[in-house]
Amino acid sequence: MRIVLQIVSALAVVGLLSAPILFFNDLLTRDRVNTLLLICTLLWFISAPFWMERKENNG
Amino acid sequence: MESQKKLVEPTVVEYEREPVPEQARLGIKSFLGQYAGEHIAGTELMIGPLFVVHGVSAKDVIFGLLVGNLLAVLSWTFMTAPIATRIRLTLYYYLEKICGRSLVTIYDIANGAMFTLLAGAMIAVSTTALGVWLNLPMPGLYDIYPNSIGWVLGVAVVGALFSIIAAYGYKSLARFANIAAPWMILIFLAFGIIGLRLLGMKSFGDFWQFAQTVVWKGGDPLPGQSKFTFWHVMFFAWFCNMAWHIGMADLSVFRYAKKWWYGLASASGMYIGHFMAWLSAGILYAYQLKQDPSNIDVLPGPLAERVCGIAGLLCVIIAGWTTANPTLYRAGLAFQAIFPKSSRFKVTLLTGAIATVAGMFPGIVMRLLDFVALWGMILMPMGAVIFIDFWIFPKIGLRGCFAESAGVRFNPAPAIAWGVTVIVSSVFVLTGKIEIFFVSLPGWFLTGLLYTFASYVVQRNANKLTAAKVL
Repeated sequence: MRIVLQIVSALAVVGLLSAPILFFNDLLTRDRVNTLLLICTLLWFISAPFWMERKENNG
Repeated sequence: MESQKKLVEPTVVEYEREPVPEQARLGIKSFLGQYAGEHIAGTELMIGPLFVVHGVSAKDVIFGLLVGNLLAVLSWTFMTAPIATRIRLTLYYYLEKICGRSLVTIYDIANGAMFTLLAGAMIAVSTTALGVWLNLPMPGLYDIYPNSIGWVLGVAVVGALFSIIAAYGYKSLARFANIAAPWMILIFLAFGIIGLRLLGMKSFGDFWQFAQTVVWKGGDPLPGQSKFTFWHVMFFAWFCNMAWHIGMADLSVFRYAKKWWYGLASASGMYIGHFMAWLSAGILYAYQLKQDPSNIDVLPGPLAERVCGIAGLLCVIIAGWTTANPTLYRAGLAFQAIFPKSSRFKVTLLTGAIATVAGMFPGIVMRLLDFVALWGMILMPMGAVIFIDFWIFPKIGLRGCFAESAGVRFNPAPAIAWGVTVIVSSVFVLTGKIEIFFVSLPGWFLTGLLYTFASYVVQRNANKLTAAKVL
């Protein structure tokens, strides 16, 4: 399960990084880039809490 | 700017009055992550645009930030971390040894007051995002006092929520802040990239020319604002966290570092938060000016929403929230140290109430650059006292940690050095002889000289008294 959550988080990071670059290169419209940023934001916040903090608790 | 310190809070409680033991020490990765996260705050969205307001040119802002942030990193590395890894004590406990309990209490009040005002600024920043959704009337660049009931009510609601959550669930929100930090960094990067495209830039190779002619055009500042040069930007970038590095507040952080050179880890915060994020925020403001040259208001909510939509607004709210939380907590801790029997819950709520009232006054957030410089000026002298006490006193035959060795609750030497430096610096600033951004550098040397001279007198008199008692 942890690995699935980490993959979702990684996808969110890729989306957050690539959406502005795609928009910059005219490969995404303004509305699409904002929607993609919002989707990736939601993906990050529903996945990252379940794996990011575990390491700290152990430490 | 300063935000959450995930390493400090749980461990301060454990090693408040003893050196950090070897098994509790941390590797450089912890510090890289901590500094990268803590210097992405809601207030970055104010600072970047304010540089544009002050008419800075592209060359001055970019090279000023590169050099100023480097100086900040070097200050952490060569001033704060070497002492921290030798003494391994909190700032407060070490100051108590030098200054005595009574003087540390005065320091606590000053520190707590500054943290409270900063939390107020963060509450105001988040309210600007709420204002976009609720269509609240918002303050303008030149507003100092609250200008509408809607704004006051908005700040009151946001401030109350932040305060209650900080009082009830500080640790939960601190964990949330750590999770949000990587996301916020990416959203700030998106602000910059999308903003540049919206301004008309078509290739990253055009950045330099574009920066000079569209974003940071230089020329006259907006009416009523001072003109910023390379030196203003450099000193601001160097000194905006002065209380933490030269002022030594981060002794409490680096006492956990295995090696002194982990101070270099602060570069992650400086070049992500105080370089990339400030430049991105400046780009947001340039886009606003392009759309409507008459709209000179610096309001993070509308700035972010215009470029990144709802994700941008969420970033403003979360950046303000996650950074106001530890700021309120730290202000509460400073005040609680003065009244040890009061509960942290009540102190945090009271501090939050004061911060909320402060946030209603747009003057604090609109003059954030001056406020941050003022903070450095007020707290920096205690860092100079620690530096001189630790490195210089053993070499010139004076006793370090005098309050502890003499058993006094009030050491007048640091009090004189601190008080005189703040008064002299204030006079220079108020009479317009030196701008507030530059005054702290000569102030540091003045404190050092005053502290050395005053300590010589105080310790000579104490030695005479001791000799007389022996006889």
